[in-house]
Amino acid sequence: MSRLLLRALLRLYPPGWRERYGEEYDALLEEHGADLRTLADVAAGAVDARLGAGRMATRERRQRSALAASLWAAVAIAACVAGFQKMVEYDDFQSAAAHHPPVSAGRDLILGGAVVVAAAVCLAGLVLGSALWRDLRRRPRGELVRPLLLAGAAAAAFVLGLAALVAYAHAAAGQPVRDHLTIAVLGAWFAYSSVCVVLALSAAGRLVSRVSIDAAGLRRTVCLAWLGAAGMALIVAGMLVWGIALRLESAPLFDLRDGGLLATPTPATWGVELVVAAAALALALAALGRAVKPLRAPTQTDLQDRA
Amino acid sequence: MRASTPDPGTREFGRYADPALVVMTSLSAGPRHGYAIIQDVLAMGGPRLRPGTLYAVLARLEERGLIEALEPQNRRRPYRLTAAGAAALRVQLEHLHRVAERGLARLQAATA
Repeated sequence: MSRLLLRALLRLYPPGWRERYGEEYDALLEEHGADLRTLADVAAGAVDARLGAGRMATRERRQRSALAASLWAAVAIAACVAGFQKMVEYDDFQSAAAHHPPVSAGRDLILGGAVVVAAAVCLAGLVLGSALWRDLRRRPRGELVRPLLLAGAAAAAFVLGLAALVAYAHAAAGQPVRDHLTIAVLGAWFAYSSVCVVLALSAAGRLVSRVSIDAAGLRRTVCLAWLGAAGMALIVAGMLVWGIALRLESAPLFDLRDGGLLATPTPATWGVELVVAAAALALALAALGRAVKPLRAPTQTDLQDRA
Repeated sequence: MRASTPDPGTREFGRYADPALVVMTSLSAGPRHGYAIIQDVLAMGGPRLRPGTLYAVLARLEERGLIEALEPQNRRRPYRLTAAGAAALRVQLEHLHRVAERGLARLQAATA
């Protein structure tokens, strides 16, 4: 009974930890007695591994975590850019960009950054996708197939939801945006899409953490993630420039009370997009910074200094 | 005691700092796998390490480059001390040795 419980507790450790230590840990648990204190110790070890999964990462695990974090950041940035494009698709914003070069420069920075991020994500996806394909052809493993199926199903569900929203928008054309039914539909769509995106990204993160890829391939992918982060920086800079320039050059348009998404004030929509984009950039930079930070081992000088 | 101990490489181990010291001491005699480390630490008169604690320590030591994993043998993976680990262990043991010598000398002076 205790042994069964020990095995069950082993499942509490994070997948990356189990992949690295699982087999030898299981062998140790077989040899070790299974008293109550051992059960408590193993449970505490699982909590410690969960809390310290990132801290205890090796260089490779840090790189894989950075890739997964960059993917989350890229999706958040994509949502911001899509929201921005939706906000400025109207003639008055297009006209402001045409007449005020700083406003146009901000918009171009955002679009240029979006192209860079998209290119980086596609290229990194190609590298990881080909590694995944090789991996699956060599030995189809449940730990790869399950997240792959989940990611595909969640992405398909997202696309279906988007198609349904577009169909509703066509059907409801001409109705006020603040109509109760529209608000309810948009709220439901937002909740549904968020679940799809979170599921898809979590599954993609598991794939990134488990796919077999050599050190050179991983380095190339991390370099592409840095390129993506550079694109994100362009987007954040562009949003900042666009908002400030519009406020200076065309204050009445910037201060529109219903110029933002869903007829919200323009500054509110712009502010939210800017904050989310900046947070995504910070997330990507922090994760990528950790991936290149040297693992801490004491140097001879450290040892002499501390002695 | 822990706060004043020079602790190269294991400074951030918190409650795992003391188990890390005995694990490194065990590995200073040569590569050992998990169960052998537990037995050896007990034989040295150290604490009874349990699996959760042992692997929390091993993961930290490996991440710091103080120990390295060898090829597994029958699902058991031996670990050995790296050069950096040996140097770190030497510094810590020498410090503890000095503390012990001073403490004993003071006790002797007090009882003389």
